[in-house]
Amino acid sequence: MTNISFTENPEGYLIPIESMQPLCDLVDPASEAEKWVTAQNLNICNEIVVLGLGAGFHVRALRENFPHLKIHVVECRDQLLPIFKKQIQSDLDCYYCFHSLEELLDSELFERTIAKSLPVYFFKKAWGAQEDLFYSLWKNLTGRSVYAIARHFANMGLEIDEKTMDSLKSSERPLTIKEATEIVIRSESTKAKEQRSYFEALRELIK
Amino acid sequence: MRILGISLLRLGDLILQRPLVVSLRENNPNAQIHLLINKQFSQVEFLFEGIVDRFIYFDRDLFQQSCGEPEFNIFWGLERLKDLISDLNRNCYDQVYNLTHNRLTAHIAGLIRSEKHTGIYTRSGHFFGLNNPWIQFFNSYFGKPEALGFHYTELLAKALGISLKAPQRNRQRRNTSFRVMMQPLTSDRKKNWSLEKYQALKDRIEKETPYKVVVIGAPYEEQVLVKYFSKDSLLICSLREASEHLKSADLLITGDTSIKHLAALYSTPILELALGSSLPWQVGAYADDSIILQPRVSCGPCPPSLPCSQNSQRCEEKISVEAVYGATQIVLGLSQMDWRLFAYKNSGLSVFRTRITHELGWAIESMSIDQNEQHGEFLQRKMMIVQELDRRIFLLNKGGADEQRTRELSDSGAEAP
Repeated sequence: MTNISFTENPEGYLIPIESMQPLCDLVDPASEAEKWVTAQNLNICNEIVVLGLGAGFHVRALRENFPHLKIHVVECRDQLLPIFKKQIQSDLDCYYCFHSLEELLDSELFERTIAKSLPVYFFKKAWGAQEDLFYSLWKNLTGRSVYAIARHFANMGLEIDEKTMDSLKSSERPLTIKEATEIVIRSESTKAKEQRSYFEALRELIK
Repeated sequence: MRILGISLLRLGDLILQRPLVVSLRENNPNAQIHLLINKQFSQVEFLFEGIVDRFIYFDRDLFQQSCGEPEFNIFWGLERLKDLISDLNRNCYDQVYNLTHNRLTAHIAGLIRSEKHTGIYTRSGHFFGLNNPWIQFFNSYFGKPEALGFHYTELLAKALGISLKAPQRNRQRRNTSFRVMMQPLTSDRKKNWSLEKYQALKDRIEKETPYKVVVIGAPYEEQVLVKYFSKDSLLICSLREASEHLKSADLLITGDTSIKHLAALYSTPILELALGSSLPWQVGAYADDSIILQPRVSCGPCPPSLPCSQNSQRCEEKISVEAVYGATQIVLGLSQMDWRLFAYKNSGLSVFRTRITHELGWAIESMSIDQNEQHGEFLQRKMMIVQELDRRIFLLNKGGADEQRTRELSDSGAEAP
């Protein structure tokens, strides 16, 4: 578990710091959070996932600007929620603390995110020193990992053969709809043939 | 009966396809006609009032974002596409027309259940509909010299088996408004005649004739246009407003723009300055009596996707204000000069006039004596191709379509350049 320390800013807020990195702007975290919200495309869905609670100002800004949005907040550091509750907001309906990727993959949130293809947002400063873990959570929640693609495919009744699975696993970079399309095109199964035109249409859009 | 048309190209293409949709309506007066178009071009709906019963939108930008932006699950677009197709299939279409002819729309058309598909579509990765000789010709040669003299609209109509009515002839129009419209900016810098020249032309028209000039532009072009034209001469407006003004204008002077195609729908006289990659022989105004000035330069028409290859834009330099003013005078009836004499005096330009006849369909008539022979050859070749492809269509229909034959479709398919 990582060490989180706190420093008080001029407005009297406790700002979390991890490995010398503040998890938000030290002086004006509220304005920074407002700017972040403005830059996001939030008209995609009425239910979203936010990766990283951090200092929580961005979550507060989201809730204030989009009160009807259902927000699932994912964190990996236990120390952050109590401060958030104390100084920003007393309740947070959909909060999850996953200390590892495995915990996420076993969760109902993962199932729900995959089944509904929920959009996933992040305020990168809030990731602090946990960038690697958050990055792998993001890859899986957005369908960009081999495991996530396999789960999506299973929901559609499609299988990935072992050879393809192995070759995909060797790739470190996030996977795209192109790789998913290649799998469907190569497959001889009836289910894959039924789905093929959908994938090929999407592939045309990213050419 | 329910008919779905799929048209997922750009604004200009949608305007060019309007005569086809009009024919579909005339041939099927009691049918419900729906049109699937890109959401960003919903502004053209007014053009199809009384023709199309319902528009369905394809949010291309959002689909594209979903394939690359980090907040999207990579399967989000897939789910939305399935939702869209499922909505479309609930309408139980009797016939689907793919007006677009590219891979994307072929896949979408194939996903829509219908008794009859016209145009290309796919099933399990195989392309169907490509055995139609007109579709083969369209896909293979549109935008290339082999299809010179075939207009995009008529070629698409042939490919889809839709008969077109010849538009009204311009000659019946009378000058009423003493208003000339100009749209100086096109979507491609190398198709633009300089703003300084448009400014000089406007000054001259207003000084030496009784006509007022209105300069038309889209809202995003205003910042550039105000540097050259006074605010009261500018008409910064929507497509709908522009069309209202075009209906009563005596002349439109422009490059290769969507406004040109819009003016053609209203039989507004057009003077087109065909620069850069403009292909007036294939996407000139689908109208009778429209005039086209095209500079004779060795580098033109240049490829559409590349920037100008010259140190300076040679084609632009070759069209003088004097020449455009002279042509304007003839179109407005202020000069009695014969077009052939005009072409002779401006030998650095090719001067064309569009014609639509029942015998030949759309054709371009060259006003330059030295191009008459070449022009005659084009017309003869066009007639031969029409006869041969119509004969093959007849044989195909007689023998039954061989739906199993598939061919390769080029990446872009056939789109108006």
